[in-house]
Amino acid sequence: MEIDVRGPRFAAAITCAVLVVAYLLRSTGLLVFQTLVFAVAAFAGLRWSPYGNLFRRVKRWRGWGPPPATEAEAPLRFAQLMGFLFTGAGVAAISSGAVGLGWALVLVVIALSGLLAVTGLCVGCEVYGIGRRVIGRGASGLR
Amino acid sequence: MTSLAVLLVVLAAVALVAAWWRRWDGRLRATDDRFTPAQLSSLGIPPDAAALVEFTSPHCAPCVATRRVLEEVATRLSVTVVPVDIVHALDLARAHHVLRAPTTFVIAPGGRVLGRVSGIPLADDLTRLLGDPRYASR
Repeated sequence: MEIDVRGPRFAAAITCAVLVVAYLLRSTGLLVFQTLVFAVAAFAGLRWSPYGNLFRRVKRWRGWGPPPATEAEAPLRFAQLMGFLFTGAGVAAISSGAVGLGWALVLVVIALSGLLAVTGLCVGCEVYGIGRRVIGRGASGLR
Repeated sequence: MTSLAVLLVVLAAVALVAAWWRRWDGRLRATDDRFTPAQLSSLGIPPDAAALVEFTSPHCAPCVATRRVLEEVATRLSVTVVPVDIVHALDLARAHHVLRAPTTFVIAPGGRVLGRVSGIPLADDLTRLLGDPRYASR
């Protein structure tokens, strides 16, 4: 599936805002909500991503027109998985008493989603690309 | 209060990285790198030809956009466009410190690298660099 390149930036802006509010209010509930959003996109696919669906609705409503470019789903899905692992680890850390560590993990996701929203640079996707090349070295038949 | 300060520091760092990224992404950089005759021939580039070598990877949207820019430059100047999938040229990519796709090398006849670009290059930058009468055959 090819993704409208504006979608991930839109979704990252919402992610960043949700996590900033969660961080400032120390709201574990909101953090769990964002973790679930990541989980849906990573495990079910971006077609089911709540923020992705919101983007499509807003796009239709505001008449944003056809995508300026599209990109592959796999790296983005991997980036969502990274987000899930970080916020999930944050939830686990907070609920087991390591509150400082938990919110520090959330700050990492705030930084990376903010960067994607502002510049379009998706660090998780770059990591995916590098990982593919490292794996490609071991099993060059794998594409 | 402390947590707000920490958040502001993080957001300031993001703004700095974003500003740096905008200056770096898609910009032509000078380098004293060169492609050896063996590397040129492995890419099918004649020793007396200028070339634009683009390192690409599967699942890379900006690589497609970069290819369009390179083809546009190639219609203006006589230069060969050579796409290379990083997955199939890991040693070559490592030899030239390619960390990202797309990365484009502007190569003068003989293998000297005139410049390199990470991200989508500007056609005008490449044309200016290759437009030097020493590198263009017309």
